[in-house]
This record gives sequence, structure tokens and C-alpha cells, in this order.
Amino acid sequence: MIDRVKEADLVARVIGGDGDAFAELVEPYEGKVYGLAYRMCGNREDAYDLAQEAFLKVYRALGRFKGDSSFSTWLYRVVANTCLDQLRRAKRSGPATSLDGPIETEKGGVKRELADATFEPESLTLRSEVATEIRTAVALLPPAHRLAILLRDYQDLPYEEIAQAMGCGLGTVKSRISRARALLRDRLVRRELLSQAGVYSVGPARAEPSASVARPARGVDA
Amino acid sequence: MARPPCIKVREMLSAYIDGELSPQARFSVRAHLETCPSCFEKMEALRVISASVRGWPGPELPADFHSALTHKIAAEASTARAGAARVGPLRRGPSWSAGGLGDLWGSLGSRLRRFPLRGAAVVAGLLIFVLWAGSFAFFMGLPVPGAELLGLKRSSEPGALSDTTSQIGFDTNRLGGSASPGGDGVTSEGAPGKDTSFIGAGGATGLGSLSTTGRQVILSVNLTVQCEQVGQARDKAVSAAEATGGFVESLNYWTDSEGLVSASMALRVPAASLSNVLDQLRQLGTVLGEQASRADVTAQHIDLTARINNLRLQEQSLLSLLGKAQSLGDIFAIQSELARIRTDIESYESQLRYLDEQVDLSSIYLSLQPAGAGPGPTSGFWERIVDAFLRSLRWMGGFAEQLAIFLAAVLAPLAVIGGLGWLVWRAVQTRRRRLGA
Repeated sequence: MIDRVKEADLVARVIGGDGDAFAELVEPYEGKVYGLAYRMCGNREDAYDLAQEAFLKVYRALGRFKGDSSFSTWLYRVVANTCLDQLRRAKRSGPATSLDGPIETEKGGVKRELADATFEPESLTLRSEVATEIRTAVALLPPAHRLAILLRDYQDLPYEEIAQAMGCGLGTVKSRISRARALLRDRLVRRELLSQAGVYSVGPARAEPSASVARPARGVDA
Repeated sequence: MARPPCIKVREMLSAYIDGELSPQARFSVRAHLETCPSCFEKMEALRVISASVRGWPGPELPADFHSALTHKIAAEASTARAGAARVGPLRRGPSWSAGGLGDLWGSLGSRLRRFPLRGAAVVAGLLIFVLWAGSFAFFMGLPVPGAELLGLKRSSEPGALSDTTSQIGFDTNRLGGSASPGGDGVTSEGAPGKDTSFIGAGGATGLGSLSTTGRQVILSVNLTVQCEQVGQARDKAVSAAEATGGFVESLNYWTDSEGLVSASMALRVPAASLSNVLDQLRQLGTVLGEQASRADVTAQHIDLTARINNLRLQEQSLLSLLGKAQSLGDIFAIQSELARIRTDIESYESQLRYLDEQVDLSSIYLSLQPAGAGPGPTSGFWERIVDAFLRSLRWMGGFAEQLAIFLAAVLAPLAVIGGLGWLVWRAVQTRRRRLGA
């Protein structure tokens, strides 16, 4: 990640007409933005176009970047708007083509992901099923909710930056993410995947809050 | 099962696993989780979900992504350099002073693009306002005296503000019979030669002698006279025309915005007495302008006369044929031909009569202006400057007055339109916010 000073310098150079500086400025974000676009629209071609368009918009709008937030936050804001605009347009022009299609084609990817995760080998297949279901469900979330949860869990942005990127309040971010997760959980419950998922057997994904939480000595609660 | 604290805790679980709760809230949630297996399980489920999204594998960034982007940016940059500040990051948003008009335009464009609805509303509003104001001003008569505002040149009638031009009359007194001294149309054959020595030696027109010897000429004169008493002058002009056997064809008489009376009239006088009448009219006051024109219609006259003669001959021969007609069919055919010829003859004769009348009776278009109107031709340089300045001030005052009246008149509808616009705008904003854009 580029530090703020270098970033500001690069921004100034781009505004001064230096196209190479722009390449240098956005290169660290290309993978993340493309990944976000892919998860937002569900296939590689659209994701490619979307990400390119987003960076072009960033380039065109760079003159309006005043440096009062970090460049990455500002960039995600442009990307977020581009994504939502694109999805809105796609929705108007007809139903999206097989939202869950690409997810099914990612079997190999799923396995790879699980291999470097910290889960026990015996839960692999189950986990993979749950994961697939969750990703399908994410693709079916309303765009704003999908974006919020992706910015949180995929891009790993704090709520504050998500709020800036999406141009809404902190409370909205909180409720969107909470609502999105609740929708995903409901879907898992409906598919009877949640109880099989063996949540207790899954190690904590994030260390901070749960590390000190002692698991209550109780069985599965309906 | 869900005890009240559970409900509250569950609302916070999502933020809890993200580490986004305040220290106190985090502490209380953690304390609850230690005692509530149900909530703990839900928290764990959320964590699985979060982890699953986090670990969502995606395709690698395509190898050509960076080069394609760099290429596009380079193309964009060169366009930006070529087309001033229209494209590219050179456009500085709100800092208007940065790059002149191009910048301003670009920024305005981007604003409009960002708020297409608001932009359209503003443009439509302006358009409506301009049209409205324009038509309003047109009907009210814009150049209104704002003299009261400046205490200058008070108008004689305090009440007379904008509804100025009160037309007093539009009479068409046809006095001297319907003219054509020739009597029955065709008699003008052999051209009686309306000899009219036009306007006379003292004519101020400089047209010299418009003598019309032996020719059919229509004479008309535009005369503008400035006089102290328009009312009296008007009466004198009318009687001068009538004394020669002429008549007043039309007459307008009005009070202008400053309470001054003006008149304009169209007089018809016998061609022979035209110069006489003109002399009298010139005595009414200062002659501001005089134009005379003559239209030679001799050729037309000859042409019409010849056609009529021709048709008359045809009529005669048809009549003699009619006497010899044997069959009923012949009679009908001849009679219908006769009818056609007679219609033509009548048409030509009426045209000829009109020409004769025009030739016999010259037209005088007389405009009588009050002495106070307009800058006198003798006023000096500074006086004219001051006058122009005062007039522009008056005009501005009048405009302000009209604007105030106009605004008062449109306040109610504008309030309604504004209210509706605001509602729409708010609805759009709400929707935007809900969509998270």
C-alpha cells in the first residue's frame, strides 16, 4: 500500500497530466477492485469492463479529489457508485444472466481457499457446501446490501470507510451489513445447512472478539 | 426463548464480530454471550458467513488488465490535452477560478450529470420563467414610465401607468361619396388625362415636381407633423381634407404613457387639390418628416381598358349569334359563354374603377405628434446624453415595477410549482439514499 504522502504526490502528478503516475497510483488497487467487481456482478467479462470503467472514472474525477479522505476511500466511493449504477442499468435492461453460474464453476477455487484456511480436513466438504450456498445467496442480495457486506468482508474496510464509500451514515452501514448477514443466515437455515454446518467445529474467523469468549457448555439450540 | 437482552444483543452481533461496537457495548455483548448459548450460536453462524464471504475465491486479475487500463488512460490524457479541460483529471470541480470558462463548463457539466433531474428542473424552470416574463412584459407594454420613481417629468395623469394606449377612435368616415367621377366604368377610355401638378413648388419633400401630365399616377404622401395641440390640429386636418371634397379614411387618436395625445390618420383628397391640402397640413406645426411616392399605373390602365373593349366585342358577336341560333343546345352554349364573358368584364371594370379612384384621390398618411414627445431636433449633445440616461433610468424603474407586479402575479403558481418540485426532489433523494448511491 502506498503511503499518504506518496499518494498525494502521485495524485498531483496525475492532475498535472502524467498518465504514468496514474498507473502507479492505482496499480495496488487493481486486483481488489476487479475482485469486488467480480463479486458484485458475478462474471468475469462484466467485472473486467466494470473495473476498467471504474478506474477511468477515477481518472476523470481525480480533479475533484481534495485529499480530505484517504485516496483508497475516495477510490472505493467511485467504484461503489460505478458498481451500483451498472447493476441498476443491468436490472433495467433485463434480468441478470445466471447470477450463481460462475460460483458453480469455481469448485477448484473453493478447494484452494479451504486448503489454506484453518479448518479441519473432515469438515471440508460440508464447509464447501455452505460456502457455495453463501456465495449464491450473496449474489441474490440487494445491490446496496451486497456491496456493504463485500466492502466489509472482502475488502476488509472498517464501517467508517464503508460509510464514506457508499455515501451514507454509519448507522446505515451497520444495519445493511447486519441485515445482509441475517438474510444469508436465513437462507442457510432454510436449506438446513446451518445446523449441519457444525458451527461449533469452525474455528473463529476473526481473532479479536471471540478469543476471550468462553463457549457456553450447551448443546445445539433450536 | 429469546429473552429481552437476547433481542438487543442479536441486533449488535454483526457489528460485534466486526469489532465495530463501542467498548461498553462490546463488554455487555461478551458478557451475555458467555451465558447464552443461543446467542453464541447465532454469533458463530454470522462468523461462518463472514468468513465464507472473506474467503470467496475469485478469478485472478487478467494479465492484460493493467496494460489495457494504461492504454485507455493515455488515450484519455491526449484527448484531454487536445480538447482543453473537457475531459481528464485537469477538470477541477468546485474551484471555479482554476481554469477559466472551459473548467467552469466542465464542472457544470459534471454537476448536471451527477444531478440530471435537478439540472433539468432548473433549466425547465428558467425557460418557463423567461417565457412567462416575456409574454407578460409584452402584454403589459414594457417600456413603462418609472418617472415617479425619480421624480422626473411627472406624467399628466397620475393614474395612467401601464394600460396606456387608450384608443379613442377608429372611425372610417367616408364622406365624399364613392369617388369615381368617370361614372360608368368604361368611359375612362380615351384617357381623360388626370393632370395633376403634384405637391407644388413649396413642397418640403425635395421631390421636385411630380408632374403627371397625361399619365395615370397614384400619389401618396406620408407626413409627420409635431404640433402643440394635437386635438385642434387633427380637426383642422380633417376639415382641410373635407373642404376639397376628400374624406377621412381612418383615424387613430390615443394617449400615450406620458399622458400626451397623438393622432394618425389616412386622408383621401382629390389629386388636383393634393398640394393645396398638403400646404395646409404643413402649417399645423413643425414638419418632422415627409415622404411622397408615385406609382405609375398608366400601363395597367391601358391594359385593362383594352381587355374590356375586347370582351365587349366578343359579347356583341355572341349576341348576334344568339339571334341566329337554331337549336336549344346552341342557345345554351352561347348563353353560358356570354355569362362567362360578362363576369370577366365586370371583374376588369371593377379593377379599373379601383385604379381610377386611386388616381383620382391621393392618399395622405398624416401623423400628428405632441410637442413634448421625443428629443427636439435642436437639443444639444449633453441634453441628448442626459435625456438618454434619464430615459434608461425610467425604463429601469419601469422594468423593476413590472417585475414586482409580475412576481406578485406569479407568486401563487410558483409556490405551487416549487412545492411540487421540492416533493419530487425529496422523493428522488430518498430513493437514491435507499439505493445507496
